[in-house]
Amino acid sequence: MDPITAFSDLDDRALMAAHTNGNPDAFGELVRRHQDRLWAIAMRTLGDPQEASDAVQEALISAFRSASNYRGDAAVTTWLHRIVVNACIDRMRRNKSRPTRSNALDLTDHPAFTDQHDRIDDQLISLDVRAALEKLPPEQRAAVVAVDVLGYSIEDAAELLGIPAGTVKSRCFRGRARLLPLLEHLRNRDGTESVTPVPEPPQPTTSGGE
Amino acid sequence: MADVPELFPDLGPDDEQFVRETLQPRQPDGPVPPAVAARWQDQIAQLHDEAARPHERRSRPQLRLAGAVASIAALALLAGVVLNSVSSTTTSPTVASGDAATPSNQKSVAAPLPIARTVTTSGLQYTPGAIRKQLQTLITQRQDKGAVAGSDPMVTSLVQPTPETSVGTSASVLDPASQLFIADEIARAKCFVEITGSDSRSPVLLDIGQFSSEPAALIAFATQANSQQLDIWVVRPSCTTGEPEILWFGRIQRP
Repeated sequence: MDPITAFSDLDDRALMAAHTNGNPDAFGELVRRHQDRLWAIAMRTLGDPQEASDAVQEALISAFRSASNYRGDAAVTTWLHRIVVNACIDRMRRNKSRPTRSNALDLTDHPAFTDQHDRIDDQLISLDVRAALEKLPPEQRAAVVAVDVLGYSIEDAAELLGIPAGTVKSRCFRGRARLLPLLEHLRNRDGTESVTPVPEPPQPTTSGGE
Repeated sequence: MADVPELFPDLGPDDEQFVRETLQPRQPDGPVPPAVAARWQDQIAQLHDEAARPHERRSRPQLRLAGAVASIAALALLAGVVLNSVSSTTTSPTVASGDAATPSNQKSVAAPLPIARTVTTSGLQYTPGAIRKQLQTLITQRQDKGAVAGSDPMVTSLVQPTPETSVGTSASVLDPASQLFIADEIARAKCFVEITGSDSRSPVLLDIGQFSSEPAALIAFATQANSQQLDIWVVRPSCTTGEPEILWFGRIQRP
C-alpha cells in the first residue's frame, strides 16, 4: 500500500511510535511531512544548498537512531527541528577553518531558490545578509536565524535551541551588534530614511609616540 | 548579560530594529528540491536496511541447526546429481541449473525492471491525485507487453487513450520539445543528470503525456536503496536543454 495513504490518519507521535515499533515506512513519512521546514531551517542557517542538504541528512540519521529516546515532552516537529539546528551548528563549527563549499550541488537555479519576479535588489540584499550571517559564530548565527530570519519567538527559539530564553536574547543581541557594521551599507537604500553617519573607526596610534 | 553593553556599546534601538528588518527574508522559503528529498529518503531506506541486518544476525544462531541439516541435504543432492551425470551421458545440465534457479523456498521478489531505452507516448493526463495509479497501470502494461530493453519500438503506445485519462496524444502531433525528448537519447541523459544529480541512474519508464494540461515527460527510476520502489519525476519535455522544470516528484511501490 502507498505509505502516504496508509499513514494519512496518523499524527506525528503515532508515526514516531510506529517507527520505534519497527514500521519501515513511518519515519520516511514523518520526514516527508516536515521536509520543507527542515530544509528551510538548514538553508536559512547555513546558506548553502549542499551544506543544508548534508546537514539535514546527518540530522535525519541522528533522529532515526535516537527515536527511541524521544519521550514526547516536546512536539515531534520541535524535536526534529532541534536536531537539524544542532547538525547545522556542528557543520558550522567544522567548516570554520575552511570556506563554504559552493556549487558542489548547485541548486541555486532550482525553482525553489529563484523567483523570477523577485527584484534583483532583493536578491542582492539576500546575498549580503547571507554573507554577513556567515561571519557570526555558530551559536549566535543559530539564534539570530531562529528569531530574526525564521520568525520564532524567543521562547520557541529557546526550546528549539535547547537553551534558556535569556541566552537566546543575549545571543541575538550580540549577533545583531556584529551584523550592524556588515549590513550598514544597506541602510537607506530606498532613500526613505535619514542617513546615519557611520562613525569613523579609531585611528591606531603610531609606535613613534612611545 | 552585563558583558553585552561593554562589548557592543553602539547598538541602539534603531540599529537593532534596522538589523532585524534587514534580516527578514526577501523570498519565501521554497520547498525542498525533489533531488534532495529523494536523497534523504534513500538514506532512510539504507538506515532501515542496516537496522534489519542485526536482526538477521541475531536470528542466525537459531537457524544454525536447520542450516546444517540443509547443508547435508544439499551435499547429498549434489552428490546424487554428480553421480547421475557421470553414469548417464544423456543427462541435461539444464535440469540441474533450472532447479537451482528456482528453489522452492525462494522469496518472491519482482525482478528488476528493464532499462527504458525508448519513450512511450501514452498521452495520459497525469494529475497529482491519480498519478500513482496511472503509473502503476503503465508499468504493469509495459511488463505485460514485454517491453524490454532492446525490443521496444522507437515509440510505443502502451495505453489506449480513454476520455477520462487521455488527451489522445500521438507521436506525430507532439510539440517539438516532446519530439526531441523522444528522439535524442543524449539530451535525455542530460535531463536525467539534472534531476537526479547522478549520471549513473537509468530510467525504467519514460513516457510523454500531460500534466495540468501541459506537455509533460514522466521519468521513473528504481529507488537506489530499494528496487521495489520507484522515484517518479514529471518534468517539462524541454528538460533536454539541461534546465529541467520539475512539475511533480513522488515515490511509489512497484506494482
